[in-house]
Amino acid sequence: MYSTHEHLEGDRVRRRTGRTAQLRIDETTRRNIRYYACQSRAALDDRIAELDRERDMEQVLETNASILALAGATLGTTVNRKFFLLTGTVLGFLTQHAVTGWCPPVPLFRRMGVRTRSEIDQEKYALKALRGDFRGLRQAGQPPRVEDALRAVEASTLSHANST
Amino acid sequence: MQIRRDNEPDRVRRYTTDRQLQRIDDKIVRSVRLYAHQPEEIVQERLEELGREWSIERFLQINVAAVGLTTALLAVTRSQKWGWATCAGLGFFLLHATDGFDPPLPLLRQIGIRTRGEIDREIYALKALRGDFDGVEGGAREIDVPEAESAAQAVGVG
Repeated sequence: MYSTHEHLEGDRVRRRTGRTAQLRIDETTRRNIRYYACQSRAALDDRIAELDRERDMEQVLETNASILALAGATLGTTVNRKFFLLTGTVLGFLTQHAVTGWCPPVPLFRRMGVRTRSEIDQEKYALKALRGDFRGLRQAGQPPRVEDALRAVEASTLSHANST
Repeated sequence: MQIRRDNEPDRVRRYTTDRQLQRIDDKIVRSVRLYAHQPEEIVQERLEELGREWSIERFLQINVAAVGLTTALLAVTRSQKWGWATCAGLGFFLLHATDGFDPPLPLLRQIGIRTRGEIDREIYALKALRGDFDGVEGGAREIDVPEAESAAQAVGVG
């Protein structure tokens, strides 16, 4: 039997999250899946749209880092160059985050329950499956229905007017 | 200049041109068509590879850090006026974080760098075709606890 979460092993934020925080985040996702399994189709549709809009770890971190670094740069330019130290520190940590998936505010945000996009998509695709989006893709003795699978994962808003 | 797609939840896709979106989505289609007929080990490897693929956020983070650190260094060592360049770079990055646009974005999208959401679409199409969701019929009834467990397992939180 293959593993069902090999696609998550590349998520560096997950790898560097403390055990307790990680268990809590996964438990939240699991609870949401159980809850929405018993809801109406309309509720599932709403929840899936909401998940697409959920603020993920990168976005939260980027907002936080750019505000701090920008404050440092503004003060550094107008008041005293020493404020550039703040900009330098924040951008150094941002680089560290981009490369390793960890920087000082990450544990705090994880404890607050901020999820990575991969984690949000876990819930999203579980709900899509429960909605029946992946139904009948594989039937005994027949080739897999690739085109149906592709339709099931299409971008939620059809963004290009000239799509076929 | 690309106009804003108001209803697009993915803030990077929101500022990607039609042609670039089409190309990125076509790449997902081609890849899924190819891997759908490959043996299980190859699909497994592909899923691991997709999991490790660098999303566009990481490129943008490194880009703003490089621009910001260079100009901040110049502001400290040469002329304080360089600080305005730092401010501009960081201002755009704040705009990216909140709404989506960032000057390097069109170039990165042109060379096909994807968002995590786009990578995940390919991942879950392959997982579905591999049969990860076979235990989930879905859609028919209102209450089904075992199916919820199967779905949770299929996405890796079971």
